Amino acid sequence: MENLNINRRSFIKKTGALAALSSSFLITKNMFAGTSPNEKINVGVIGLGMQVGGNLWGTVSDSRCMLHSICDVDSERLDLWKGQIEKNYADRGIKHEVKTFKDFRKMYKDPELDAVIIVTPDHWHAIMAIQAARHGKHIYCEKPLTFSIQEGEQVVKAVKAAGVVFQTGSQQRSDPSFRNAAQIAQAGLLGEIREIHTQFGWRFPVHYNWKGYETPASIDWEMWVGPAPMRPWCDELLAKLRTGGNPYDAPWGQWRWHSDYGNGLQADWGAHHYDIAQWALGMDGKGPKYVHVYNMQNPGIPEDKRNIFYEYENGAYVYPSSTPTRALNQAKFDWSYHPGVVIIGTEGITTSQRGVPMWCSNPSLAKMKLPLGVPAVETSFDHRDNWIQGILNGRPTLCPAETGASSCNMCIMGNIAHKVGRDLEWDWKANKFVGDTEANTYLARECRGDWGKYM
Amino acid sequence: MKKLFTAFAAVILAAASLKAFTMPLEDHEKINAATPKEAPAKPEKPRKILHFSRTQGARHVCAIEGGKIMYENIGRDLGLWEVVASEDLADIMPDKLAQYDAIVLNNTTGEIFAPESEKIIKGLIEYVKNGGAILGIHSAVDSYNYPQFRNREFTDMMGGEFVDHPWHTKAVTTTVIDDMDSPITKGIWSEDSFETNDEIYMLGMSYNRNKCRVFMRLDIERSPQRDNLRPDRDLALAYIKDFGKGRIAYCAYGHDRETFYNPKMQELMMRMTLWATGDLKADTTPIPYGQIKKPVVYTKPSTKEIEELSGLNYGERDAEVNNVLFSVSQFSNDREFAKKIEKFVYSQIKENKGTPEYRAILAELLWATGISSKSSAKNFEKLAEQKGLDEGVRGRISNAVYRFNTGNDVIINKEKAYKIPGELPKSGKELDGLITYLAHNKDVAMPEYLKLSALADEADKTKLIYALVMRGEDFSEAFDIKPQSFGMTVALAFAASNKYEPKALDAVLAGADFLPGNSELQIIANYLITIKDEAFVSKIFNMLDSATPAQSKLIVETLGKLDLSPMVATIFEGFESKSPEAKMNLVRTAGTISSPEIFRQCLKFFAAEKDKKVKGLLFRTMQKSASEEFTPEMFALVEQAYNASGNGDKAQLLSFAPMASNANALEMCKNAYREGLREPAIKALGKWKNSDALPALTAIAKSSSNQREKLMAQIEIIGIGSRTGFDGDTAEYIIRNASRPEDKASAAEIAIKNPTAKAIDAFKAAGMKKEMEAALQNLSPVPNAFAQHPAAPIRDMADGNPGTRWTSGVDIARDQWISFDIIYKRKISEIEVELAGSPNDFPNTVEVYVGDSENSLKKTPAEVVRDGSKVIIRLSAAPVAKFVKIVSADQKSGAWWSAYEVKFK
Repeated sequence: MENLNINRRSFIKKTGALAALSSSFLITKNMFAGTSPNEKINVGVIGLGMQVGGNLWGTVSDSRCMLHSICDVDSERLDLWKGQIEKNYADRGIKHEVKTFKDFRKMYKDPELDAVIIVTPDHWHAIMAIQAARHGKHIYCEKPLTFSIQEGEQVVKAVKAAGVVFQTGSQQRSDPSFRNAAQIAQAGLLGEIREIHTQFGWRFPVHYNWKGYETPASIDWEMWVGPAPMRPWCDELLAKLRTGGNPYDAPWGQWRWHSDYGNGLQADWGAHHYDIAQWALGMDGKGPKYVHVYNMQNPGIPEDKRNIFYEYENGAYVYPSSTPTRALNQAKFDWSYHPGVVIIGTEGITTSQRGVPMWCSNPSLAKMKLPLGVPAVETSFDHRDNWIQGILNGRPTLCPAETGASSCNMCIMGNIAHKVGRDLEWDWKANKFVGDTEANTYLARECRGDWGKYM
Repeated sequence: MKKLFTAFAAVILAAASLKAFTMPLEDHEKINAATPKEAPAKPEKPRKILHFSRTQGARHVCAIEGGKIMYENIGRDLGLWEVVASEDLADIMPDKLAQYDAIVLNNTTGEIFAPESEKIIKGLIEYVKNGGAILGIHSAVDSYNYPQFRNREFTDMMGGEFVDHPWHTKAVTTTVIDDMDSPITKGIWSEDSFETNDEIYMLGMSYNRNKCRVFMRLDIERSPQRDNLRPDRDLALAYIKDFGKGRIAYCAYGHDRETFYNPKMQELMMRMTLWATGDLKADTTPIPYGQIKKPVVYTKPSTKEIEELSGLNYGERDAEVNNVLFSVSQFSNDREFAKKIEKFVYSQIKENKGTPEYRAILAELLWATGISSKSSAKNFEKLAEQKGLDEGVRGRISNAVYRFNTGNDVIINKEKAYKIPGELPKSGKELDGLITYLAHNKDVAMPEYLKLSALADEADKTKLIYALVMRGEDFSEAFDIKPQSFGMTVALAFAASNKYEPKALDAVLAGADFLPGNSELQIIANYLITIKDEAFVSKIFNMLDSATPAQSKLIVETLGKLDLSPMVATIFEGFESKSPEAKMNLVRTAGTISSPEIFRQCLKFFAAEKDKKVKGLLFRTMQKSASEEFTPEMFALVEQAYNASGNGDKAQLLSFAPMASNANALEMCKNAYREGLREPAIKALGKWKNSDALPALTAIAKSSSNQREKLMAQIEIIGIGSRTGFDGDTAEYIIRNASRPEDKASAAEIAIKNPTAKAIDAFKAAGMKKEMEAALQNLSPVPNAFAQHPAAPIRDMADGNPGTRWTSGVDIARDQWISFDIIYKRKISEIEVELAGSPNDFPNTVEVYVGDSENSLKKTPAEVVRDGSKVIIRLSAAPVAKFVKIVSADQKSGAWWSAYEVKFK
């Protein structure tokens, strides 16, 4: 297969301080799939944190879309981004006013809004996605899909009932390094899959008792906390924009590690890599059979004394924070390839990593020379574009809600097992643990106050 | 040296002579003394056991002997079995197995059954499947595990393969017995764990605890820490499993004789053997990982301990907070404990004890404890409504009540039903929503009005096609559509991959013109290759003949993803009669196949091809094929073609010579040069993979009167030199004669990096003093050494390694000599010889001869002086020489002339 020559039809204008992150490939298209050029897709973006740049600027540069509105609980961020976006349009001769909102509910009321991109902390994903669906808006929701397993189920249901197009932001599925490995694995070309090792750090969520401060004037703190437990504001949870230099020059998104608001590295990275593992095993929409726990002191975090691994019904194991060094050396692995997700089957091994081609222990498979009739594995080179294609012409998205939910569930069930310190058996059909009522209490969390009525 | 030997005494590389080794008598006694006194079961009849201990790798000499003695003792003393001990392949051949009730593989290792591996393994599998049994001891699993002789059938049958031994016999590890009730383990150990310093094995992929019953394993928590373990930390040490009608057992213990001194170990192995023979019954049900005993990380906190958090403020005591949260969560299934905490939490919050953050943590505990009764839930509900209650507390209490009310079930709210319009919607948004909804809800009936024919807009048609496919409805009329957009083309490809019919391909290809770029090409190609119909490949291949450029691109891309090696023989059929465009398509497709056959075919047609474009493509395809693999056969074909070609083709074919980089190829280039293909020859030589082309290039550079050629050759010389270094002659030539100063500089750099004597001379003659010094510096400090009597390798006294030593092996006597070639003439004032711990191993007087070669030596005054462990031979005349010979003028009986290292200063 020849090298991919990804056509760059236009380039993305970035401001110096707000460098777009690699949350999606920055390719835009000048295609008209039967839509009149005047019928642009009006996209709203919620959550102006560090992860928003990629998809936001992708939308701005996408001639099929219009960046219609932005929403954030911090008016400083709203002002900053409104200015940047409008200038970007103006520089291209387009006079455009970006609407700003602090409350997503108001944003959804606008009939002009066609689609939303949700880039908020995890505890907001569910309500925002569900409400967007019920208002008939198409949704691109960042991974992990939700904070709790119950939320995932509700999102799936809401999207299904609404007739809207949904994409989970698991953009590794649009990376050939991962797609090729999943395709080979699914086609049985690696034999029986025995182990999948996913390399990412080790940080289960714990309770952080950060110091509390008076809420800054620009921030609507109640709106940030929303359905999650309330506590005083602190910079760790929602960093204030920095003055001078890069406004985002702060340790950011530490809500990820706090068990009230995030699901640790399981969600931060696990959601990506477990998603690939599920894909490779052909288990999208399904899940593992067991989560096993073992005791091991996390050298970096005194409060964290356990680790987990997954076991599937067919005997395959999925391990977090693991690189199978011995097996790779035996297979004469070329370590310049950086193993992110390693799939070990009885007939071969693949490794995948962002921006690095797939490596395979079988040289002809490494070149992706496949037998005829392999099962289809959706192809995409730009995760956001794949979503827009879904909106414009109905092509199934790479990561619909069901897939996003089943991958996210893996992360969450791992955390639950880690918390209770017991091996748990998972029934993916019923989405609950078998024979452990107490563990099942963690599948859902009541939305605080009135927020529950939006679920 | 002695220390190392003792450590490895037990495990020595197999050698015929070592089979004679046997343990001292007192060790035998120790083993005898540990023989079990009685048998746990009486065999129906005396059993016949094969004790097989052939090794093809590391050999556990003592464990093998120890095990054999154990089996013989038990068999004899308790009348349980007759032992046949063997290491002969003949005794384990398939036809010999039926007589044995069990085969014990005692510390076998490696490719034990070679050269009959396949036969014997097959025989063993049959034997066990039909009711036989194998018991593996220790390194029995260190067989057929390495890639060179991997046999998964064998290791899968055995239930595991050796991957590593993270704990050696120096480490004391703890074994935990998960099954104390099995007849195999019952009563042997009084507690469910014991310490051992036996070597601990770690098994690989063939091990799966759900396929055997693991009754003993390593206790990771109570053993020394190790890295690089199995991520699941499951290290099985003894297991049994059913296999067909037979039985497999594995005991990881048994690295050395000490194992067999232990009566408990003998008891264990005896019982495992009796289970294998079928005389001792035991449950083989797997013990899942979830059921193994795991140490408890947290202790149940008392309410007092929790109360210690009462003064908690934000910004402190994270560790204590988490300790409480995790410890309570761990015991959430202990309902008594949970109730106790629940009560405590209630009272503390009700009484407004401690700080708000403390109360929030307490409320958080409710998520773990749950609420135990309706009345408690009512109380908490009331508590939550309390005025002034901190929001962090209130919300958490509310959550606990909510979870109580749902019984820990997950409540999903009903969604509003989608309103299906009564007629085809006019608005785009409404139609989109309808089709999307129907695509995701196949149980909802498709309204009558929604047909492809009813839709005017192509984008709408596209959406409906996807919906029809996802719903599993009939969509073949979609293939009658002539796509006018990329979106439609992709949809048709999607549909085709779902259910293929020949007209689908025509429909997809009709849309090839609308593909904006490579990504889109990939998307469609990836759909097309999922089509299972074999006729599809030949259909799409034949379409190449009449395909438009856009269609050809798509077809070639699609074919390029497939493993077309079955087509290699026939792909060029009919090549000559095709149009130039069709030929191009064919060659492009062929070029995606990696095979020397493609090279051969392209070469065949290359000579006769008249169309320039096609010829060029054929050549480039040959180059691509050659770059992946270039065999001697391929080169032979090139030679043939070369000899039959005209000059134009010859010049091109010459470019394959460096891919072979062998003698024939070199001749080819030289001939080409002589025949007038001068520049092509120089270019080809310049790409040589080794330094063999340097003499030819140097000769060309020297002899050519054409300045341009000369320069070309020099540049190529530098190119090769930077990859491989220069030989002396090339160095000499290029340093002195490079025409461009930058080439002279590069040549100098190369010669300095890998200096030769000639290069140094060349620097000298050219007056390049600095370069000469630099080269001299880089000259190997290690001279070439020679000795009259080399009992130990001569090299060892001149290898830069003070640990290695040369010795003559004979008593020092007059006229014995050692000599050295230090590669380049240098001034030598003294020769330093390191004798280390053998100060007497040198003649007290010597004669020294020096010169430019060993044939032109002259004596030079030499004085022997001692300096600690060194002998210094002082040469007062400080001669300049390349070759030095030291002759003994002494004799010493009982001392052999030796040296650890010799240095010239």
